[in-house]
Amino acid sequence: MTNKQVRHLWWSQTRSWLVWLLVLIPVIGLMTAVQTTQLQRTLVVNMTATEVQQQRADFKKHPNDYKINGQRVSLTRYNVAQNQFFHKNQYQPHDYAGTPDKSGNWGYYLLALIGGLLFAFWGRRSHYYEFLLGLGARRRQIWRSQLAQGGALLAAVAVAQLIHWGWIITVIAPKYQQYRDLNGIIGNAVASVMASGAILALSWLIGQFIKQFWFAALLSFVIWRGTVEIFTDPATGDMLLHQQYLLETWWQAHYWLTSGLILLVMLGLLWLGARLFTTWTAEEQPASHQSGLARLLWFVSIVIGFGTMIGDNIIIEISNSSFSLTNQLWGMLLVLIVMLAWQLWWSQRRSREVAHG
Amino acid sequence: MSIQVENISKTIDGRPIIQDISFEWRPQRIIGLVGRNGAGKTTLFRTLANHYLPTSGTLSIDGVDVQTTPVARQKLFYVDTQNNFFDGQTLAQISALYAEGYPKFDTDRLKQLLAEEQLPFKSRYRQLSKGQRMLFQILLALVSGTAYIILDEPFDGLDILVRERIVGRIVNEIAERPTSFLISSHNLEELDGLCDQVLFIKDDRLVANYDLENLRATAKKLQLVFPDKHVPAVVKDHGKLIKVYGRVLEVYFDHYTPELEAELKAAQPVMMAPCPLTISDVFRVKLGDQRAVMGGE
Repeated sequence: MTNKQVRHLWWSQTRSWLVWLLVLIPVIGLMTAVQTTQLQRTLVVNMTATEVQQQRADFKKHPNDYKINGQRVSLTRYNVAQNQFFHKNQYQPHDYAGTPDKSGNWGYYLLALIGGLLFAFWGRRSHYYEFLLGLGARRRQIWRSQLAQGGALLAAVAVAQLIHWGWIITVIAPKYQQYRDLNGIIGNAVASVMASGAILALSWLIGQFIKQFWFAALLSFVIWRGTVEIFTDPATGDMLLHQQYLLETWWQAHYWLTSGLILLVMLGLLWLGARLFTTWTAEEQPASHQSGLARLLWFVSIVIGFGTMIGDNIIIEISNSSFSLTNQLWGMLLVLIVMLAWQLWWSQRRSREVAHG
Repeated sequence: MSIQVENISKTIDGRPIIQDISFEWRPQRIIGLVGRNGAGKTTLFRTLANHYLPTSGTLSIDGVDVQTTPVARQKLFYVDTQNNFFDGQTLAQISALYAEGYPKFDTDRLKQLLAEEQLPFKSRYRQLSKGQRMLFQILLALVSGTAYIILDEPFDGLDILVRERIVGRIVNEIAERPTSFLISSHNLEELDGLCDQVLFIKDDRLVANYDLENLRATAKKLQLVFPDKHVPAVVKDHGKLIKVYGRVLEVYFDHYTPELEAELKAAQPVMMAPCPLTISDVFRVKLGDQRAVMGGE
């Protein structure tokens, strides 16, 4: 079968759920943007008459309290300076307060996680993979069709970012955008797209060797959460960079480096997923009878996912270390020991069963 | 021009499900695959259809190895009964999907056959009864334009009327088009009178492969009644007793020749009537007690 035929057959059946994701992602971008501009309007533009009078009275009484860079300024200029939407030097590593609110990105990340799980599970659960393979499609052709859909989802995230920032820049009055750093905005938007891609690749990969949808979703989530914790832990930032600023801010300031590193992670996860899918077979195999790569990934993902969670929630209570990473490493070690013990017990039990026929 | 299955094996969860299965599937034939539930029939089909990766072995269709040229699989049709993606779709949508996959798929003929079976083209698959679903899958197979069709337990749980309609469709197809079938069943009687060749699968291996056409050319089953209870030596030496009803003997002769017929007549039977040779007869004669294979004992 040609790639075009496989792609067409795959898209024809998956369009129904993919369209929902492709629509929802930009809607999230628009909703978060509208929410942001409404909040900004409420806080800044729409001061009540009483608030305006109170401020004027206060300005008359205490004019020295109204300064910019040590200089006394008019009330109007003061308000414009105070209510700037973008902070000065927003994407500088030392800026604590300047980090933009990125909570809206969680929506994209969540949908990317769901998208990856659907890639891994839909074809299997509906037995559509089998239909295509029976027609003579190669496994790598199916995987490439899914990859193209993954690309479409990332394009949707990029569009959502464009809508989000486009809306904000259009709606907020230019006088409140004095410190707008377009390069920083674009760079961080690219990093968010890459992060969505990495999360999609992660849940897609995990869904390939975990058979239960809920467990694959949980494991993908805890690995994502643990990884974010490791790379944004302030104590780790302090140790590595010897400065008292947020590691998260550092990543946001070095947006191209961040984007590049996340891209590498995403490509690595996709490569592993492609390796697994080329040997995919329809029968349900327990983890113990899967390929060596699948078993290794199963082991590593459990150790990272649940180890970091235990480290952040249980070991932190009994540990003296303020480093998230230290606690997470202890957590991973604990899970590793439990897993190895279980593996040993299981192997011995199996040997006994074989010996007893 | 044939399908060559060579040493196909499949192990699942560390347990061999089928081992070293080899046979040739020639065109315009109906092959029965018989084995008890769990013998490995569906596993064999899913491995042939590339749903399962074989642990070992090769499959070639009309001389083309499907491993190197997977598109050759378009000559082989198999509908897995567990296809969940059918459920939300109409018969028209499913038909359109198959038309995209199989280059010779004949949608007009499908519409005509569905009309004959009083299945509305716009009806949803999930609304069909079990028998109607099987009938629809068989109609899909018939219009797919493929040379080789696999039907997995097509008569399982169906009433006699639906079964007869399905058998009729299969027989007509063989007569009118260069199509061949591989039909599985756990019930020997279901395939009687339908197959040209029969494969028996037991304990994950193919234990027998009989060409009924060849057998029927040389073998014969007779009902014999002799004047007394004594069974003549010619019957004991050349025949195999299948059944005994009072003094009526059903005897299978592997190599029935005019000389043998003359010897039988010389024994002066009261009755000597030929009977149709069934798969069950072949089974009894070649493999012994049916329960030994079908019961897995």
